[in-house]
Amino acid sequence: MSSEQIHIMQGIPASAGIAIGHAVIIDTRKIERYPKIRITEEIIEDEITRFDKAVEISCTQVNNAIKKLGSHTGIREHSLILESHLMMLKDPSLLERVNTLIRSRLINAEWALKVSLQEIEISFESIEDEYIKSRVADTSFVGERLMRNLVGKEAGSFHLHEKSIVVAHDLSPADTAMLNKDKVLGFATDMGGRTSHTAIIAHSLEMPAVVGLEKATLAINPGDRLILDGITGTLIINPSDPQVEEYRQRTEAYLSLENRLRERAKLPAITKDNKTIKVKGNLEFKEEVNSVLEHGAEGIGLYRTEFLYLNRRIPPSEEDHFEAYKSVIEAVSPFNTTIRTLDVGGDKFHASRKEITKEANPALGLRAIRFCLKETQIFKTQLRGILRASHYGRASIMFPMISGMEEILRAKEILEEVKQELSKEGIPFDKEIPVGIMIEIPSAAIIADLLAKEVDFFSIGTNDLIQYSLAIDRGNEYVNYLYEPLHPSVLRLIKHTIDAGHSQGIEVAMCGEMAGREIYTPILLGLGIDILSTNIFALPHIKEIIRKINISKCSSIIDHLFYLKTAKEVYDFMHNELEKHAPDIIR
Amino acid sequence: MIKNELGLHARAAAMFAKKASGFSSNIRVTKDHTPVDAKSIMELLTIAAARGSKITISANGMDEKEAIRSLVSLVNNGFGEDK
Repeated sequence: MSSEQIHIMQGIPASAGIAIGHAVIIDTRKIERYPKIRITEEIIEDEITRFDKAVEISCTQVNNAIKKLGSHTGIREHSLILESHLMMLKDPSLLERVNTLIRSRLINAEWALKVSLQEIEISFESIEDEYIKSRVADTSFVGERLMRNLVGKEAGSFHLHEKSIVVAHDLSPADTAMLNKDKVLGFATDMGGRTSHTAIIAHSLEMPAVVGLEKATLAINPGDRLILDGITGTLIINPSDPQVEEYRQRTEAYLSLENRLRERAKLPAITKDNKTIKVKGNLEFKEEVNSVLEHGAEGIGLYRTEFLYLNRRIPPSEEDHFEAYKSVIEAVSPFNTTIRTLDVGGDKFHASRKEITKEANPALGLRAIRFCLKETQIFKTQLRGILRASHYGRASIMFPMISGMEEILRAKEILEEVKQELSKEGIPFDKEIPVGIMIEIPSAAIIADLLAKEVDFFSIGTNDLIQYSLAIDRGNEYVNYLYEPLHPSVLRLIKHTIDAGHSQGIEVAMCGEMAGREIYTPILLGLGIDILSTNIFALPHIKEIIRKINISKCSSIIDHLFYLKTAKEVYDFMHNELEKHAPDIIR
Repeated sequence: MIKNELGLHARAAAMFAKKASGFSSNIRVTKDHTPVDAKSIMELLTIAAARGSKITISANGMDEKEAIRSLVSLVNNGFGEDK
């Protein structure tokens, strides 16, 4: 029987933790089939009452979600989205249209609702503004909720009899906020990404979640036993008893390790031979900052600012920048917050601008610092926001995607202009704000000795450095096997960058994924890295591993690494060395 | 004139419609000769008023003056987005 077959699916880990339990499938997909009935005049009022009732229930559901979110701090943005849903539910033109259709065409409420929703969809299609056009997603969330409550298939509240794992095609932020922690062990969805609103809410509820599974709702039957691993993104359907036992032990180990690490997370990371390594956190949304600090971050090594630019037609204002940075800088103080300037291309928020034509090769195109040096007004607005916020604590500026000297000099020139403007206006800012660059393009790594003279720090972005060095697109399934952090060329670029930085007396950090993987930590420390900046989940683990490392021993084996010819040889060598000297690191 | 960065987007439209719904008057918003119901967030969204676009607000009813005054000030203050 197929339902008893073990089936393993890989998705995107959205919220850490492991859940073992039975599946409850929640059908959040569009209702394609709804009753279409012609009615008689006598029951017009009944249909209208029925529709009004559905509106009322829907409003209550959304209101409950808003209340529920209200008790979790830091997610006000998401409740504002829900409030606009509420206004749509009460929308007089929608309600009147349904009313009129029921009366004049003598059709049932579901049919009338569908017709009205289609009319709205059509009127949205003709909108030229891409941003507002995309808001049709909100109207369809709202339309679906109404239709469900009308048909009686209510998805908004989940009546679970026992603790279960929720499986759904997609969960709206409202659905996620309504998941009851006492009954829901975790959830898995077909849609979604690591940084979706849904993932962020799951994380703040501390509920294990795997998203982006694509076909989970097809592969899983109600009642199937599931193992949901929100750490790795793995979902096992109908696991064998030994697998369940294994994961039970893993859960226990995970929880006790997490507790132990959490307790120790805020202690400094000092190696066995007494060198302190600064471990910082990478930050995407300002709402996460307290959580990142709780996990032991000694500052923010990479504050991505792209979120400010996405989903909008016009670049953010100086105030938008200032507010977003000030709140983080204040929370992180007395530690430092490293703010990276815009790292995407203009296509992300200039969708309606015609002069930006589609690039054949966006990864090698007009983006990040290149875009900023072209659109200097957008760049200056961001720099003004950063500088003004720097007054409220300790901040650094970091330029991404630097390929050569001219870009640094030009960027610094613009920064200087902005500083002078602010001084003239009498606006306070940190006049000594450190300026650094990402080392993520091979050309920059190769001339790091020259670049080091112009900046206050380097931060190695390994994800792009590896992709550009090896000329592989990690998202391409045919070549991603070539993505190899231990490739001898990558190690040489990293070593050269660190040595070049140190010879000029500047600190070298690493903020790519490599910084957050324990297996690489001994190598990076041996190479002399000063700062590791990792994702929130890796923070306590990296700090703990550092405490077990003896750097002088690592350095002595590092030289040997550069005689090795392949990534596999490097890996095997490191593995052997660790097994000999620090077996608990690789276990 | 719409002053906030994003134009009359979902959140601003929600605020606008919410405020308009508080008045008994019949209120309409016109952009490019297309009038829509000021109390309907969906209709407001369909006129897609981007930053810098001009809209006309008209009201008819008991509290028409107060309605226009309060909606105009909401728009002029950029929906409270820009301080």
